[in-house]
Amino acid sequence: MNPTKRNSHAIVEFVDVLLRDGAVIQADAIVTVAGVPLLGISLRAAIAGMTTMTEYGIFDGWDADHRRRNAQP
Amino acid sequence: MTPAQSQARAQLSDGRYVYCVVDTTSVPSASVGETTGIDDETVRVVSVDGVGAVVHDCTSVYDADDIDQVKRWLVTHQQVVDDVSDVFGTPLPMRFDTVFAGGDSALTDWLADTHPRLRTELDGFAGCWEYRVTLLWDPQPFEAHVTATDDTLQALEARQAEADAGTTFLLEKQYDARLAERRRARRSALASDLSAAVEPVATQVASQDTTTSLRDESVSERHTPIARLAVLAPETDESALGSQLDDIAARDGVTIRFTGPWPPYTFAPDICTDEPNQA
Repeated sequence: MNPTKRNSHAIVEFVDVLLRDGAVIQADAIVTVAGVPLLGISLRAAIAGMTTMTEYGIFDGWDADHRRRNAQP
Repeated sequence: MTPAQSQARAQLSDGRYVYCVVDTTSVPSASVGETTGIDDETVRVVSVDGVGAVVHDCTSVYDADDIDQVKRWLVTHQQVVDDVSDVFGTPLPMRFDTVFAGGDSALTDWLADTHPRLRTELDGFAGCWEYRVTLLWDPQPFEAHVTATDDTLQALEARQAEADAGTTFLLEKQYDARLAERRRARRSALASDLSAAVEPVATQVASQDTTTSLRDESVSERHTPIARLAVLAPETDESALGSQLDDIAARDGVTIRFTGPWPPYTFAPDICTDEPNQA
């Protein structure tokens, strides 16, 4: 099987990952409030029903872009 | 937004939103292309000695009560990371909403201070991507097989047919317990088999909680996620990884979800300016 980035579960996956993972930089110049990342748990919990994102056309450009890439040899 | 966050937004005059760090050794920083950033901001690369931060200029952090707005930011963030990955190769991805204060000078100071560490991380991830694998299991085919073939279950069923009401109740409890035991063993075996299948082609594997913080409407009621792995693997081994997963997906009741290639979000380290250089 081949991996996908376009299905609804892939979208849920990446949003979840993007909000939770990635390198966290600890440096004086990083903007935080009392050392706490600004975007926290409450926002993650609030984002539900990611598959409805497609209904807003949010992914149209991204989808087209990836289809084009996947079509390349 | 809390009062403290409002204050932070108000104070930020020369911010740099950082998407990721890339290797600019062999590709000029100016090659970032036509990708546009969050809120259509211009994306550029601030580079120090072959290590570049992909940024846009900003005057606030990104937080909003409008969830659709946040979703658009997230998708655009990923889009930018995808675009620059095409140019520079595997990036070191930052968590969403990583913002530096102090303009390019603060950013170049940080790049210089952490340069050996960033270089090591970029070299370590070069040519590798993160793939995510979820094993979903519908236990019904397994239960049908087990109830027809398990000697203990068969014996309990036979005894129930001849027992009084009180005994039948106890036998039913034993039956359920035995079935649950077989189900648990099967789940455990499937999870182990999945780990064993990806291990030969993985550079690193991280086992993750089977529940996401987001609701996934695409999961059917009958399918239970029983294993979730983040797999760091060379791009050249993507097909081999897919083949390994085919073997697991062929089993009764099993559905495999295979997504990627993603930047190595799960495997990206926390980077502290004060830590000793690891180069």
